[in-house]
Amino acid sequence: MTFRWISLSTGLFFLLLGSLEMYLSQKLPGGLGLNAAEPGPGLFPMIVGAIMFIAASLHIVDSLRATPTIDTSENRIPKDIIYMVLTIALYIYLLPRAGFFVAAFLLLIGSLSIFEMPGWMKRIATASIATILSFALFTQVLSVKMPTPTWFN
Amino acid sequence: MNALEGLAYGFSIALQAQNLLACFIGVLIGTIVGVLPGIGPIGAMALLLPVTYAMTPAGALIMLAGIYYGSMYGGSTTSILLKVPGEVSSVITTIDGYEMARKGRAGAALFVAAVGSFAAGSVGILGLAFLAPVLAASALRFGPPEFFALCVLGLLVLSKLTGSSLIRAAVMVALGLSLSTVGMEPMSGVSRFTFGSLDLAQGLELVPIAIGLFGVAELLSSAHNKLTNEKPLKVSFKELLPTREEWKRSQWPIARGSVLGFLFGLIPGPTAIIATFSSYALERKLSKHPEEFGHGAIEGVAGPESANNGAAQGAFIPLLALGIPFAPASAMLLTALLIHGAKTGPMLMTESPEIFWGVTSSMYIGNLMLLLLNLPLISVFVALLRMPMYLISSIVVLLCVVGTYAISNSILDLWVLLISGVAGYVLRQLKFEPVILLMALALGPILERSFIQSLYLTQGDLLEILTRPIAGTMIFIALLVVLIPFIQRIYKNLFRKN
Repeated sequence: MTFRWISLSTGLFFLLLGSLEMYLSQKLPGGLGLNAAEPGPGLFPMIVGAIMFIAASLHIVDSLRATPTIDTSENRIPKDIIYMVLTIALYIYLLPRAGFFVAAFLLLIGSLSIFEMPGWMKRIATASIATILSFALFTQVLSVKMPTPTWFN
Repeated sequence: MNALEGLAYGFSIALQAQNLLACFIGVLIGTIVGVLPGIGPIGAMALLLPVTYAMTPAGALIMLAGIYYGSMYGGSTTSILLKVPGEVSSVITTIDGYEMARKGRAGAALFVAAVGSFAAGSVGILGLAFLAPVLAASALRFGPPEFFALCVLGLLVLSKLTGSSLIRAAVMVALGLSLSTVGMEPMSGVSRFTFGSLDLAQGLELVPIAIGLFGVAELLSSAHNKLTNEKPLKVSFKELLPTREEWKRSQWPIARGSVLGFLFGLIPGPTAIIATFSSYALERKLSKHPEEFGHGAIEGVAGPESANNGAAQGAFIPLLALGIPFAPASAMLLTALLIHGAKTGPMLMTESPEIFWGVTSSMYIGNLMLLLLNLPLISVFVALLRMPMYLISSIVVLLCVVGTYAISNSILDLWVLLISGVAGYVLRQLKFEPVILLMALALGPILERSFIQSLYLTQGDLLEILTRPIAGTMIFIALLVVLIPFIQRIYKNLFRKN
């Protein structure tokens, strides 16, 4: 895949986003209020959507005019990034269900593994200590209220 | 109250025990953030925003401001000892700072950087104390058209200064403004783009998006690149003092860098970076030994390091006087002000003088703390660099997610954080600048409100704005910012053909 194609796809994505915003803006209750002395709630988003539409169109034109160079870098998303995103997503999913301890412990284990901390026992020990310390810091010192885990109710 | 009375009042606030502690914690965290590569001051400020809930508004601002200018100090340490800038604004210091360190003059480079930062901080505070009240007083006469014009100008100048192409910048501005329209419309109360979600009716929180764009995106990037610990060059306390010659050569670059940096700080955008490059170029031009630049010229450290701190202080003026954030860090401070229910804009000085003068005066105390902290404790900060990256990164991941949840105990904020993180990573890969998105998001509500009010005021005839002297001038400058590159291109093409 060339950089030109990636650039084109990005332009197309923002073009669609701008179109969608314009479409949804005119459907808002109160509408655009095209009598400019009495603007409606849809007017500002409509203008912003139009700016995105125009900018994205120009971006597409720019991409089409660019010389199609073949990108030598790896086009696949690196595995570590996918793992990191999944680890954070798992934390968000587990936090209200399994509670802070389980969610944070797994997040730390995942993160320490992705960042290549040597030795599984060390990872488990570090994750356990960090989970307890962060729980104490946030709930006791900073009075953050953690969600009650629904799975254990 | 005049500037001197204000400063005296400010010191009485800043010297209260809890505010002194807030200032100390702020500058300490700022220095650590500046020393460690990875999470920047904006991410750190965003992460610590929930911590400020238990503080007074003045204390909260004092701590967050301390993180910002503290990081400017810390950034120089890694630049000089590792040739790795802890902060982007310290990039230029890597050139001569590291060369000085290789020649055994690391201590002198660090000393000059610290003294330069202190001097610039002092210049900035005086400028803030004398200039901000004047600006705020004139801004009291600002109507919606002036605020609208100021926001437009701010966004356009920012878009130009980030180095992104104007088209890409326009996409980012539009995306940021679009995100700012999610939730209740301020005038009519109509819900927009909420798709029936009650959580979205409150609008998108700025903090999760900021942590995502800068904190999580940085983590994703380092998950792939696997940063490793570099071995810093050793510095002993005996080597810290510069020689008489080095000191003599540093004085004027410090003075020039301080003023230049402060003036750059008044302009919208990541001006600390531009100020450092300009200061470096200026010193090279004025130096009697330009050939030494790049090989360990002390002027190449003294000027830029003063300039970046001067710019950091200067950036507080538009925020405190006008309530307009011209830099991403100012946007975080504005969020803190809003969270604490403080009046923002020109009214801040009259309605909450303890915040304005307290923060201004605390900066002087903070800069003094930094000077005392940075020099004797340099070996402690250097030791931080030996902390394994896997540990730092994992702690930062945990802080990102727990800190975001703590803002309003919302799981939706966590999803926003993750999506923003992925978006921030992808946007950087595609050469889009997320800073512009964040600024547009922060300025969006102000821009929309002033735009709608201007429409009411002018009976729908927006061209009437151009007849107002201040608003008209700002729009004219904004147009120039956009048009000058096109005119230059056309002129060049014509010149080439001829």
